[in-house]
Amino acid sequence: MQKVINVNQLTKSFKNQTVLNGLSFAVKAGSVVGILGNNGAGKTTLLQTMLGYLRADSGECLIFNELSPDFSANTKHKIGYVPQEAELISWMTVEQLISYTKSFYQRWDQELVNNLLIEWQLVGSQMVDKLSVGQKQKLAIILAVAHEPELLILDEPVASLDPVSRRNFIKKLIDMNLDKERTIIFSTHITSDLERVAAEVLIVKDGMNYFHGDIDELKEKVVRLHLLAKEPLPATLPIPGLLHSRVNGRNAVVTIENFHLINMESLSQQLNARITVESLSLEDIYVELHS
Amino acid sequence: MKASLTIFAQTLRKNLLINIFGSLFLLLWIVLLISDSKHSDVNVSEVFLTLALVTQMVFLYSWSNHLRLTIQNRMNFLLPNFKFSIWLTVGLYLLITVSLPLLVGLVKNYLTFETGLLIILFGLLIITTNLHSQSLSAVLTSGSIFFMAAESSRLKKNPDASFMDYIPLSLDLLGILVIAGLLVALYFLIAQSGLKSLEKGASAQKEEFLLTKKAHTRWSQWLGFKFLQMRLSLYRSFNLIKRSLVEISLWNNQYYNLSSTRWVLLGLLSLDLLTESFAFRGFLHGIESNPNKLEYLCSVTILITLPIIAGFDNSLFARLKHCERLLWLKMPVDGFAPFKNILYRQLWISSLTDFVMTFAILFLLLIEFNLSLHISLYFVLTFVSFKLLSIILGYVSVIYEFEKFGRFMVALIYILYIVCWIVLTLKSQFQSYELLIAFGLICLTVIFAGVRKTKNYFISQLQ
Repeated sequence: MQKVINVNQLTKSFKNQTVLNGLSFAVKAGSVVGILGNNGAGKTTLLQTMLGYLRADSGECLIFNELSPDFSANTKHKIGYVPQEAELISWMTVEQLISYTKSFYQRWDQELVNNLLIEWQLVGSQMVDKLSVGQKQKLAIILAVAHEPELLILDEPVASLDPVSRRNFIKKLIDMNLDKERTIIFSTHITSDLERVAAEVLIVKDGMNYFHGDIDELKEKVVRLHLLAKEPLPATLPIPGLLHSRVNGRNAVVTIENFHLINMESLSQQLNARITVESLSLEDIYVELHS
Repeated sequence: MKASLTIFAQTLRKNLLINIFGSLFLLLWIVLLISDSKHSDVNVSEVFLTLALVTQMVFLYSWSNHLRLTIQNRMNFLLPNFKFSIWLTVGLYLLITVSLPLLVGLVKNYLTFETGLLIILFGLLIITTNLHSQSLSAVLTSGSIFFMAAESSRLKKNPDASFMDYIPLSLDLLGILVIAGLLVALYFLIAQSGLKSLEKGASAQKEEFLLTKKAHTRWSQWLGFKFLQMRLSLYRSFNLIKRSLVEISLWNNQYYNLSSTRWVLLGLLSLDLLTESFAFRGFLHGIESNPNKLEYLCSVTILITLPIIAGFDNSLFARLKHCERLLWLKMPVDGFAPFKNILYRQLWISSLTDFVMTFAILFLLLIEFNLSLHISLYFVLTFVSFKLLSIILGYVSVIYEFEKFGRFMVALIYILYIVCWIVLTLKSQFQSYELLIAFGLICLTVIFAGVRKTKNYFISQLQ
């Protein structure tokens, strides 16, 4: 399948702090990718550098086979972007801002706009400046999807939304992906939302691609083992890919990141222990990887 | 006691630039007083009064605005001793802006009972009205100034008349009554503000932080928004929206106060020039009728006006950055460089408009004051130097994100410039215009060379 995004060895620093450190990944058309990372891990910087809002120190990013930031008008109009903090024109009314934004585009789904305005209880005559943070975010989302982009990039889009709007928005994202095969890439802290929408996850850690792949694949790799040995276990367990361990006499609880490479039978014999495998939720995995 | 001084200390820190300008006016004022023997035929008492009122305006506008925001934040009233702290701050404001001029005036014997009352009244008027609304204060203060200007003009035309002689009341008594009224209003404003805010907060349905934040500037913002809505309607009626997409996005977050002050100045000067009825020339003639000394007063007036008109509206650069982010994915333009070119073309147009408008104000002032060619040339040079300095430093500070550095440099150069100007006019004869022109040219050269070097340095650091 055609690659919509191709990021290669992207590096970006601010003064002495390296935020992106040779990060590479690719996104296929029609995928839904969730970006996970701690605060300051570089999620926003990654999205903004990809789109050309920030200039990369080195490396490159191709979107629809065009090098960032020198996109053609056609490519730019295939992208919808919702920043973390909605960048809107505060003195306009909702209606005026929609009409102003519409002037830029050839395609515009007014029906979708009207439906979302009703659904999210936004009034056309309301002044943008008077909207709450959540309402502004909703308006930014409407403006980003109205021109029917093929690629939708969202930077923590649901952080300011109430639970009902969040659910609705996630449902909309799923519909957009299923009905129109749009590629969606979004950053978030809410792992439950990510599990609901995304099939793929990109974990950014220390400015690098720590993991990129299917969520199920990640869940198969990172698991928790419960060990019950016949004799007291050593303080340092000889298990490859060990993330964390807690040894207490003959008992131990360990988290490993490459379960698929471990031969459980031989490990059990080596430690002379009975081993039980516990599958982890995405949130647990995230916490284990970052703690 | 130390904790109660926090608000006052914050005021000084928050308005560093204004305080610097304020200090400059004070400096100018002191230098004038010291040098009164040199300009012995200038009516120093009148100059003293004018400068005292100007100083009060500069300080109090800046300070009381911060104080108003502090009072309007309803959470602050929950702090212990908050009201005492507010009263202490108001007391210190008045001590500096009212008591100091009164003290200096008494010591130097420039003060009459009437001028003393006027200084107290003006200070109280600004602070009281400002704590209620900045716009109301601006309207009342400018109204008072132009009323005094008109009165001075009337007195000049009719030497037998006296100040406000058409009022059948003792002016001293009237002044005392107004001062008493202002004190009562000040008491109620401080005592009631917190309660009002709390009531408003209880009835509000929106998030409290938003309300608090918006309450600060709602009136001026409302005016600004209405003005922009009107502009947008005009553009829509003439079908200009499609052709003005970039321009419209640049309207966001404009410094409405600065631009509206300039428009008001331009309007008044044009009106004055057309009707020759009131304001500047009449006011200055009322103070001093000696043509040589009048030129000196006119020069001081232009010097005071220069910070308003010669500075560049640097919000344009910040707006350009916002515009860049807002439009980047929307504009139907191929490539990044052509997109930037479109933005920079708009920047040029907006900069040119700023330059032409402010230069028109200076030009009208120069015509109004009928200054000699040399001194006019000197002010034009000064204006161009300041404008270019402001543009270049604004560009470096906002586009390259060295805002603090930029502001510091602008303030520093203004200080240096005005101090040099004062020293030059005092040390050499004021009539040595050639020296002033040479000084202007040196300023221009140094600014260009220095800023270019600074800019190149920062660009090399960024690459």
